[in-house]
Amino acid sequence: MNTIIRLVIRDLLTFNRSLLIVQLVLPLFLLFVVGVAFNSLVQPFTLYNRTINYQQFLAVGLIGLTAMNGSLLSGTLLWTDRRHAMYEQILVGPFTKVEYATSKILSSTYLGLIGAVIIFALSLSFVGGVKLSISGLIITAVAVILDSLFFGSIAFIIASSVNSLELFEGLFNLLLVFLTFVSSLLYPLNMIPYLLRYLVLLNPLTYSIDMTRYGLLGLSSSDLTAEGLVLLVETAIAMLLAFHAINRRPSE
Amino acid sequence: MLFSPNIQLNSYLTFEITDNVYAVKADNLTKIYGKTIAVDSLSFEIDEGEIFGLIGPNGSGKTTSVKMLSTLIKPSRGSASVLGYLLGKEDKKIRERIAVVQQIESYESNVTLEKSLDLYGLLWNLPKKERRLKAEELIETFDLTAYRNKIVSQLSVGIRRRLQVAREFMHDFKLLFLDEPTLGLDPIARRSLLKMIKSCTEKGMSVLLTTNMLDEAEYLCNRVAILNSGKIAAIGTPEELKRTYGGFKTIELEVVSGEVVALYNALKNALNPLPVTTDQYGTVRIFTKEPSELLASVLDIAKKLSVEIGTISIKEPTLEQAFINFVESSSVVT
Repeated sequence: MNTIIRLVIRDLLTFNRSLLIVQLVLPLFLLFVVGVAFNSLVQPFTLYNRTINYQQFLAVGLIGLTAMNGSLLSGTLLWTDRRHAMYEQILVGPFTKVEYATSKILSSTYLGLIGAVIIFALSLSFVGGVKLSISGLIITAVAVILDSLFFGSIAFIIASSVNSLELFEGLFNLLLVFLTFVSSLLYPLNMIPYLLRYLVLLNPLTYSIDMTRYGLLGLSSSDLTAEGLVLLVETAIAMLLAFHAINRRPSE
Repeated sequence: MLFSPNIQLNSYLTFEITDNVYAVKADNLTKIYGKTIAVDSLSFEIDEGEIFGLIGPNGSGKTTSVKMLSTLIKPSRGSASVLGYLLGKEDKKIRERIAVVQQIESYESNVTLEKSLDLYGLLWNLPKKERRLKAEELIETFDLTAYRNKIVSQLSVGIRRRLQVAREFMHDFKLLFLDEPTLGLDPIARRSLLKMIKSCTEKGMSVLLTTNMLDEAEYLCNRVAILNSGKIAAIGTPEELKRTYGGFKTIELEVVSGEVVALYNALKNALNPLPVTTDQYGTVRIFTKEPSELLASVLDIAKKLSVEIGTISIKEPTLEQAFINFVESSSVVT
């Protein structure tokens, strides 16, 4: 069996199952509390030639957010390995650092995708408005996978760089709040004030959410190919930085 | 041939010595952190099938040496080959053929002991059936049956240490690194683990053991090197080191009746300048290189003082004593 697959299987068999639930708390809160509350406050609106309500707008965006949340949380996989010295134990085994880093990013992606699928199913069942098509599902899948790979890499970089759990958790929370609110999750891109829009456009979550909204609702704020390319490049850079981080990392 | 546990119990404890390749050959291996030289020009060889000990006080560079030789950290200078593969150039080949028990505790926290062995086997790409059989065998060999279904993080340090050693036997290897494997264990757990390691190692496997428990090195190793301030200060069999640095043997007299203090004073005067001590339990100790030459006159003095001796024993110098003598004198042998 391939070395990376073996490492991923190990991650999936040893990770703390409560992470799966924790990663869903924020998206579920946004979907069923904020979404419902704003739905009664904001009238259905027309966006890119389609009329939808706020909860539908939010729900599809939450698929990308859940993937991000799950992947970031999976940074704890590396943290746990470091804490229990399995990081070094694996690196004196038949693995390279790059194989180890790749496996961690893939495990994060997998865990992020599980959450994304759950939120997708809930959106489909309780919120509606989704137009299912093969091409739409493929676009959504690509967006969510790239989203998970990007944030899995970021989580890996943070977990391999910081030396205290408190700092790791602090950075995770800061990142989660910043990326959630400085993205197109809660408000359409064309309604975001000019300067803030630049920040939003730097956030890979924005592209993932836009692509998902295109794939499932038929909404798009800009050129889909360009968005996909930006997300792909950002993901590739994040993964390279993750490999660089583990190669620089000294032994504990 | 790689160390390969077969299915039958204890059948894995068989090793084959191959051609003239050293298990380890270090040549001026050096590790520098900033301005600190953690390991300074380490040069030594470990033969195939040899159990070699690196002993030294805390901070002498033992763990750093193991980390370098197990490819975990890069040497600042020097070179080494492990099992014939060049360190730094063929690291993956080295890692595929070694087993490492780290000084720090290392374990999978969320799974049972049995599952943890299985997962370790999976990491080493063992088929499921083989993993199950080996885990079963190791659970029995390392006396872990009572804990097999317990979550590893909830086990005592001693049991986790035993598991940490046991799991290395899940996979094939030619060289075992044991970096202070009994650290933090109580005396009973320590003795039990040492016995298990001994039974696994006496069949011809190459081992590099680091420890500052000298009795462990004496119990397990064919040869030991004393590390001091990152340098190898002495190297040899435990017997050679004891002979060179062990100093005096001890004649121990247990007084049954009569004046212990009188005997002590008489011996001290008669044997001056040899050191003589006594304690509250009525034991008198005489330290000498040639106890047999003194024995007759010691007994004669006791008889004259009407002191009845219960038992007389002659104790060999220990490696610990040799080590302490060596470090305290800080002499260097090349």
